[in-house]
Amino acid sequence: MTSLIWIFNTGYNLSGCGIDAEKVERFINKMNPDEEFMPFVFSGEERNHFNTQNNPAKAFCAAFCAKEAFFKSISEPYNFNECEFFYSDNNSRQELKVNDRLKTRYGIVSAEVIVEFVEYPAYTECVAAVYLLQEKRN
Amino acid sequence: MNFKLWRRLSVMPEIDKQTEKEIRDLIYNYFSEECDVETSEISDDTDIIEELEGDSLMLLALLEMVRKKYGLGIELKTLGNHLMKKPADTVGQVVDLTIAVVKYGDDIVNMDL
Repeated sequence: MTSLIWIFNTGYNLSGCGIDAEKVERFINKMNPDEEFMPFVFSGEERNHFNTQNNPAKAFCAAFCAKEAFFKSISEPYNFNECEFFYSDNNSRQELKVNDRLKTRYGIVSAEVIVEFVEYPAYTECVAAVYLLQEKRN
Repeated sequence: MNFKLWRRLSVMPEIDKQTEKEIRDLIYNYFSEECDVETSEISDDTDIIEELEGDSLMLLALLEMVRKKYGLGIELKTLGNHLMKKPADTVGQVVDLTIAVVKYGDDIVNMDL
């Protein structure tokens, strides 16, 4: 229902959506302070931003999920560096920054992201949903 | 320059058997550790998703490890385009793909593998 409210309020068409989920713990295990983390997935600006968050592993996980969800929504092979997601803890509705090539190719006005963390006894799971909005056609 | 040397320089780069074995062992050990299974339980026919519960994060981390070890500069999108034509569902296919990536780099998209 929330997405429909967005569409009516934003005046855009919903052209696609994607979803992805990952365990946060997998990112904790892979992060090494002496190395750039996944440089083919995250830009330097993203990494700098995530490392300033209260929980960097959650931020990296959220961004990874958002990017995967985005590429699922457009059914294109992953090229993670064509988009950026500056996840912040205190903002539940955020936008994925998409490069001009993809915006033009898919008519994307905005890629809205919702991120939720689900706490289980043994782990925390991040779920990200991406909604692609394009111009309304009359 | 003699003909043999010219031919060697103009054909596709080769990697030796030792390096191929090294790549195979690296991949087997990687999946063994990530999926918490013994390497003896993995074969070339093991399906990464169905049997090992593998996913894209696992494959991306493997790619990064291979890129660092062999100093590769292959773009993720190049690999994605290749996988669209020739998916790698089993461990053996990932081994073959990795050997091809080490051999050809970004040229892999032009190869008829």
